[in-house]
Amino acid sequence: MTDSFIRSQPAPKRPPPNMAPPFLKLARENLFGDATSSLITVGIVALIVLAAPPLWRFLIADAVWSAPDGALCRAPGAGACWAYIAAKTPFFIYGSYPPDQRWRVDLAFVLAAGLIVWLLWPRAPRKGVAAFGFFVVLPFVGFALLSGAPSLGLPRVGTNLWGGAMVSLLVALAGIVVALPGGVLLALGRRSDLPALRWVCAGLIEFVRGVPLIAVLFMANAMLPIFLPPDWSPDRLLRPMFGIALFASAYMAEVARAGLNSIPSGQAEAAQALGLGRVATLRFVVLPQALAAVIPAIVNNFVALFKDTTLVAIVGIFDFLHTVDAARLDPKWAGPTIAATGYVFAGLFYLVFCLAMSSYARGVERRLAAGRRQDSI
Amino acid sequence: MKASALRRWAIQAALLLAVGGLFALAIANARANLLARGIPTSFAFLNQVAGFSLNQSVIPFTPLSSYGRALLVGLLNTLMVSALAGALATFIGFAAGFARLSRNWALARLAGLYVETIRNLPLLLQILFWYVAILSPLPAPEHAHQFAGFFLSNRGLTMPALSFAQGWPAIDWPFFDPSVNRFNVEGGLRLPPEACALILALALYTGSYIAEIVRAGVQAVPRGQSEAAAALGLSAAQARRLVIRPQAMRVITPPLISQYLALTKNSSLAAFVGFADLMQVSGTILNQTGAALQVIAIDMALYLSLSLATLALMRLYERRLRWGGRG
Repeated sequence: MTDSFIRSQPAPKRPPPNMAPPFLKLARENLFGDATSSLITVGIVALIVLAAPPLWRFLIADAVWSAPDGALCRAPGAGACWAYIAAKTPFFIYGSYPPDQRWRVDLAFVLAAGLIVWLLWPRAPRKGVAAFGFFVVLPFVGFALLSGAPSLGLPRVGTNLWGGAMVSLLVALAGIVVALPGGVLLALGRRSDLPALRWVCAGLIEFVRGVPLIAVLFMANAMLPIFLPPDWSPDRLLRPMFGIALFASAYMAEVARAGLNSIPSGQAEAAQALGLGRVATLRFVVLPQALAAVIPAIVNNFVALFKDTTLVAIVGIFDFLHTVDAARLDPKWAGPTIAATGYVFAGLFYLVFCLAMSSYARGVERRLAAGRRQDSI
Repeated sequence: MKASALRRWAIQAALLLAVGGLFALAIANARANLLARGIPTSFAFLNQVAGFSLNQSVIPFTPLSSYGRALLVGLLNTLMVSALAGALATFIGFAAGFARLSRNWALARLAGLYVETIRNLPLLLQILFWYVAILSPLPAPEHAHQFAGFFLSNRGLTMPALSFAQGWPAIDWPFFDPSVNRFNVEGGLRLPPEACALILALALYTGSYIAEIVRAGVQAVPRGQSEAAAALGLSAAQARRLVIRPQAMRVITPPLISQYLALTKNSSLAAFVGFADLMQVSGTILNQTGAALQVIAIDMALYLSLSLATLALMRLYERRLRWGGRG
């Protein structure tokens, strides 16, 4: 018996088999798997066919893209009045802030945006400097820029003139700047081994979390002037900002507490065994891990905070939504489609900000999960 | 050891003193400020005549009723709106949560679109949108949309109600008759447009959160559970009912209850559309009497007790789970 065949050369390479099922098969399985599924698919297609054309007509085809005033938008059959949005955009962004001083607002927010990107960029160096700038320097510089500093040649601009997106972002930023350190301190206090400190912190957190934000804003607005000495009378924008910061801190404290609870006690014990003091243990071992573990929850908290800034309208502050809502009453533009146009625009504004924050949170979550997977192998 | 114990006491005493001092200072300031402005400092105003009317009330209320009764009406309205919106939100949330897990791609994407959009829009924007852009332009009662005894017009939603007016239970059908009332639908139970907008927006908003809770709860049940159920010969429906649901509900229920709590607190946004809930009524009373301290204290106490009652319920549920469960 001899070997009948020995290959002297490798067989020609064949392309890898196409593992992806063909599109039609995918569609059949995922859209028409069985009778119920087919029925649902047909229903959804019918819904799209019914809803899409009117939406398209209202938002795009019949919309008024440029007009000097509301006359064209009031015409029967006219769709969304984007001309109104274009005309009102400066008001929506700056409120009644004096036009020749608006560069100050721009500068303040460019500064804030730069620091935020620096802080959030995963590979950016020297985050300590960025954190110091954001939490310590920015509040003072921002206040001087927005409110004015006569000694630096910046005329004062009263908060009664502030409004629009600028106020929304300002309130949200102030909430973040106060809530992050405030929440961490409250959470640490709640976990302290001093009963009195524990009770005070837990009481404050549970009290604020137990009442609606509107009640907190009412309280800040009506009771701060009562509780403070008569000649202190805090600014009308400062009061709701205080309320929002308090509210955000209480919610942040619970997130921070969850992060602290997720760190095994062995970490702190190991740090102490290495000779680190209590503060050093917290600062270099426990807090970095605890906060990194809950970054997604922190960002989700900020999404909620940003949505909640709309409620400052209850005490008469003109935030973005409030300016949009107030502008629709302008007799020059008032018309049947103005309200819907304004709300769609406002919706897009909030959607863009919130979706950006949410997707950042999801990205961080994925990165953290990847890191953990590697650890466990 | 002794020195550190002494330091602990010193720190705590200093903290309590500081908190107490802050309170004392605030109270002293408040007394001086209130006296200077002539604002009432007792709860006696609760018995005074309110002098305003409310657009929705489940108990009799006239402008001659007292402030205290107005607050009670507000509380009942808050509870009513929360209960209705909660029931609707549960339905929407479970439907959307299951839809997101559906094998049908189109349905899953549609539910995903709903959840992602609604969660990222402020609730206030949604309430205003429904109230100003959708419900206000509805036709007058004369030309109301009618469906199975329901009337939808710019005066709100009127629906058939159970009536005991004749002494026995009967259905009170709403009707529109110009000779009886030219301006509104008569009979039945009427929800003003403010309440409709509030309930709709709250239900859709909270529903999107409940959908995510439901999805996470179902996904938290390991796949092996349904495989084991199939191996034991259970049908898909039986497996869902007997194996998946009890385990998923354990994960779902605690966050679900906190969503109900959040919904109740969020119903305070009624103040923006002028629905007479607890917050709106207290805002009116606050403006009329100036008794900010007392009114806000009452509000806080009511909302806090609602929260604490819900938390107690949750603890009870968790304890029951521990007894019945994983050992």
